[in-house]
Amino acid sequence: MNSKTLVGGLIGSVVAFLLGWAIYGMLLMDYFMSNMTHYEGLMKAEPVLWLIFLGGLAWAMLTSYVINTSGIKTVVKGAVCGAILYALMSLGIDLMLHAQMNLMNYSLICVDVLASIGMGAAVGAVIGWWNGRG
Amino acid sequence: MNSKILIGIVLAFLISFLCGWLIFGYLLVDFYNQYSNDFIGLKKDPMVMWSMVVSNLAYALMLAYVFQIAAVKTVAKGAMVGMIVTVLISLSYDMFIFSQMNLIGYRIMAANTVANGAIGGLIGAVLGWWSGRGEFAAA
Repeated sequence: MNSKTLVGGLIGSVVAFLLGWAIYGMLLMDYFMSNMTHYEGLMKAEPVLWLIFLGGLAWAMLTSYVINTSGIKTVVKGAVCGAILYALMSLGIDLMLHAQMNLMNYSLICVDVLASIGMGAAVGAVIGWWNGRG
Repeated sequence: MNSKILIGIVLAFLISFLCGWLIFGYLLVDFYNQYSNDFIGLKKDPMVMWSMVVSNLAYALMLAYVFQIAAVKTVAKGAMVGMIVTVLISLSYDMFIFSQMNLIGYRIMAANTVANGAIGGLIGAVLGWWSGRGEFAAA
């Protein structure tokens, strides 16, 4: 990983964190709460924000690594790549959880994948712009 | 999508599914039971197999997509790309879970990262080999 990949990943992670806060922390919060099965003591009273940031950083770093390795240098191509990566990662993770736990229903999985596509497109677009800059 | 990519996806899926079954479903199952919290009714028994299959397919498709756009065609580069991609996915997955739920701890996060990194490296090596197969002979 070179410095461009690292900086791209950092910028992408900030975009992901802010978008995640807006989408999951505000817009879809009630929807997620009402579509998840609740268990006493499972959910933390307060989410650990720095870990959420690090989780988003890992996805953004992955997106930056792939975009950089692929030589993508435009906003549109970056957005497409980001959307595909986030869609497949989100689908894979949600279905892995669904396979093992009584936690989410199908509606929630669909909404999560769609939201992830939007986030991935935004993160990928910013990283694509960053790579093609100058 | 040509037949080479399709076969690559099938190969990645098979290795991912079989290694996942062997490592997480067999070798480390006691470790996971010991170090994860249990909530009555949370875990499915038996698990939903089609969901596990499609999940692994999505992962295989993603790796094949990355290998195609990044033109990865050697075993060594494939192993490296596969490992990096899979470690980052595994870390983010665990961090999202750990940040919001009292379900797993650092031990499981570490074990997941190492095991998934190894599986990703293996899949990447095979995909890299498969993608570059015949290229040197043709040249």
